[in-house]
Amino acid sequence: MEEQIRQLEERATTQINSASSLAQIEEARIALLGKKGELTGLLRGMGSVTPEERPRVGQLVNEARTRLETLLDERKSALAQAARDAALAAETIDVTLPAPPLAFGKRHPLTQTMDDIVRIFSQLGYGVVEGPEVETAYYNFDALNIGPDHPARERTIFISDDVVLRTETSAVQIRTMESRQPPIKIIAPGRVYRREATDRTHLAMFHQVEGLLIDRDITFGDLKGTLTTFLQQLFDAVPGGGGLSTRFRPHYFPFTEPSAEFDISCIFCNGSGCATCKRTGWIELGGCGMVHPGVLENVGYDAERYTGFAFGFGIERLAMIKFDLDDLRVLYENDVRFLQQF
Amino acid sequence: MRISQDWLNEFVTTPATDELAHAFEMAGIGVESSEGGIFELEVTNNRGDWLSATGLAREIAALTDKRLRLPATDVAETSSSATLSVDIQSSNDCPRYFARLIENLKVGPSPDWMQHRLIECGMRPVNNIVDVTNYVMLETGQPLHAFDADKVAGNIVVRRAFENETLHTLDDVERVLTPEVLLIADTEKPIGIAGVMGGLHSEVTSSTTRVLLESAHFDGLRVRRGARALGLSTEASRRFERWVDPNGVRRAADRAARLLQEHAGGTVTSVFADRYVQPITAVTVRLRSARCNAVLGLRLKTESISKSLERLGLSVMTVEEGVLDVTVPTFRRDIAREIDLIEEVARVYGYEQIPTTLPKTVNAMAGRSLSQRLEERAKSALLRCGLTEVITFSMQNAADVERSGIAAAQVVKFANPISEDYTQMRTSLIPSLLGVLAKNARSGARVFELGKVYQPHEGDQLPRECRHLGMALLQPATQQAHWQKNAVAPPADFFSLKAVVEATLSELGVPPLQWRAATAAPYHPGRCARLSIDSQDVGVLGEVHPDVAQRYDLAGRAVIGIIDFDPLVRHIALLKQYQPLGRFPAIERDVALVLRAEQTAATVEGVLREAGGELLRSVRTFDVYTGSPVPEGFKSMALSLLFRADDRTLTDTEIEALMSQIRAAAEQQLGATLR
Repeated sequence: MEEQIRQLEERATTQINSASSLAQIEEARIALLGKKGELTGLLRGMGSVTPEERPRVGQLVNEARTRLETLLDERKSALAQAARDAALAAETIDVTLPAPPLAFGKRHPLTQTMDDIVRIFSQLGYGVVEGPEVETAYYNFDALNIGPDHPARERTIFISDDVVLRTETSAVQIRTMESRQPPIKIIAPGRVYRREATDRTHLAMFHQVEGLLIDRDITFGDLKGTLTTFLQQLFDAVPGGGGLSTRFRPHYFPFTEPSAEFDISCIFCNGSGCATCKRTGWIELGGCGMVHPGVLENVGYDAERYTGFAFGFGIERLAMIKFDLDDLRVLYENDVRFLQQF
Repeated sequence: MRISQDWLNEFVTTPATDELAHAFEMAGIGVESSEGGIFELEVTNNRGDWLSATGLAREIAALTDKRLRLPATDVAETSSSATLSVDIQSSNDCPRYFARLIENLKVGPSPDWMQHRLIECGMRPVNNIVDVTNYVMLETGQPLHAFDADKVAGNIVVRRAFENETLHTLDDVERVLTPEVLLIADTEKPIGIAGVMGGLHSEVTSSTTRVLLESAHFDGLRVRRGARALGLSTEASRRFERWVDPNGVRRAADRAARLLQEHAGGTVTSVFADRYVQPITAVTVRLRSARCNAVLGLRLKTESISKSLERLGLSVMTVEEGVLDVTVPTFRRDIAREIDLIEEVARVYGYEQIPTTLPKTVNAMAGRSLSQRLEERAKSALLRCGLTEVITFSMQNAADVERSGIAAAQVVKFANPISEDYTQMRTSLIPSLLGVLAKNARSGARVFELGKVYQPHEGDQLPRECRHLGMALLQPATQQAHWQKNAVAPPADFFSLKAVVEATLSELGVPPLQWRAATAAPYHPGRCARLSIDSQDVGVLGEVHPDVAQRYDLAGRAVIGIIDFDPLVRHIALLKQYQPLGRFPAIERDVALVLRAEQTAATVEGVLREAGGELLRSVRTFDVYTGSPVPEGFKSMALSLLFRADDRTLTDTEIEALMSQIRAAAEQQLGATLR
């Protein structure tokens, strides 16, 4: 009996190990462990074993059964795994094939630049105000100390004698000052127009941001600090923009005094001199200054009590620097292949 | 202004070229180039005194704290029996006129060093007499003119020109004058345009031996208007327009006389006239050191402020502790108020030295306004719909408008256009968008612009500026094939843009739009809709009329939508309220109807919705079919109806009852046949 059990287990083990499909495994299981299976048959034949031997033989049969069941399970899952592997292998793709095009909307580079500017000044506590682009000559010139014979008027598109396309967004500042009392803390972004021939670096229409702060105890040092903070934040996003320096040079504007032009250290050569900065190490960005007391008086403010500063710069020029463009006109061609780059 | 460092060195000891360039920049004089020690400088309009070698040297001396050396002007006079008289008839235009007779001149080339300097400054040497006048102008800033004294008949008269009076000027042009022009004339005829250019007749020639040397102070505005009336701008007029020191007139004349004596053999006669009819004197401006410090953010002592101003050539008198009276010499016309002096203190102190601080002002109105935030939201929604933002010019011309086929409207026209390209402001975004589509005709486009249009408004000085949202889709001229057959670019038809509009407006919290067929230029007559909210029109959307598309060479299908953004603002709900998700299951039923072809989906859905009551949550058309077996003039529509109650699971009996009502309504109200 013992020999029978040993031989049966040996044969069954070979059969299970050589099964190559789940069906053959099932066949083997039924042949061994089914109701009419060989091992089941052995248990039934226990009648011929002596009562003393019965427990021991029973245990031997049960042990063989457990081992064979385990083997069947193992073999079954190995075959199932192989089948899955084969099925997955059949689904292999060429991962280097091109993906389908994904239509993704892009913000215009000018809007991206403008959004950065607005974000930084908003965090510094500036409100964003707007005003008309078709403006009266009074707000565009007279209220800003720009006299009737100032050359700025020659670079202006007139609608009539006293209506113009605004040449700066400064008029928005005057309108704001007329309608509110200090403190005034605003930036005015928007389109401005010049009677100028278009070329690589000039456009007849472009965007500007001007800022204005009027309060007690505002100093030229505050102006320097504000623009320096702004420019450092703005250009942090540019590779190597970490150690940006600013420079303020005296200049003349009718509506500010002291006036200055402000520069940043060239972000392309870090100030060592390259073609972009014309070997000077500096890139000119805009104009600024302390608001002229005459302008404050024009809007009815007490120029002894309040001081303030104003600044302005072109967005196209900033975008040109930020995105390393060599021609401003490309910003208005609206070639989608260009816009999709940013 | 071009000047050599070598020339400046004659008046002040300058630092190395790079340092000098930096000193100029930090004084407020832009340096265009400094190659080879020749400075190309950009001088601001308020500083006429910088248009000369001595003026620039004075500034450098002040800022680098060096001594200024001015050239000698003493001159030996010889008496003469000739006479000279000057009659100023327009004294506001000419506060001072000085002229001197110089005789025995021998015209020839000027010395090499003088010619060399003139060339370095961008001027052409002519002869020793003309060169001396130009040289002294570059040195002192005072424009001079030498008339051939033998061509001048009688007295010098300074007067306005008569209407249509003529003068043949040095540049060999016969000029017709107007009373805007100030003239130098003799007793018989004009001999020069004051402060601008001399006349050809009295020009110095090789045979000239006697000259009248003019050194005058003309009003800047008068010179500017005269020059502009004649379309002229000269070295002289540029200087007078920006201010020339009226009290430097004699000095410059004497300097030139001395040089004519040295280099042209001239005899400086004692015959001169100095008519100073409106003397201009130095002004005194008060400066409080506390105010100066308050504006600049500094803590300068009064003595240090005083010293800075003195270095610039201003004289300072202390009135009381911290209060200065500053007398401004007449070569500085730009200083009239305390703030002007504060700027001078800042320049001498150095803008770079002023410490940077941040203002303490807080502002309750920081950041974007509500309407600006709405713009941002709308843009963000459109970007997520896959549209790219474009920015186009708001200026255009009549031909652009005509080409686009939009209806003619009142426009804001320019009185002095830059070019034929830009003559008016736009009244619609459509021409701009069609231009963008044309630019991208080959590769297709999905774009939007949120920009202004400008509409003249009766009775108002300024036009209305309205924000419009324009969207445009264009199929590429040729669809690019992809190895995955189903991976095609999204279509550019009416419904793809309708989807964008609905998704965007829904994102803004705008209530559902009503769409109705419309005809409008430049749209396809059968594929255009007007959209409205609560019966207020807010926009138009449609496929571009094929004739218009052809004018822009658009091969693929194009669709444009324009939404009036300003009225939309009233409907926008930024705060979104939670709608409970249904806890009980929804039950879906389909219905198929055969309808007259002209029945719109909006009508059909409306009738079904009405009949279904509040348990009918949505009606969605999922199929529209015409053709056999549907009879001619009819169409088949299949709609999916979704029922749900908030408090229970609906039973088949309830649904069936609702479906009968709906079918009955379809038959009775729409004349539909059920399939």
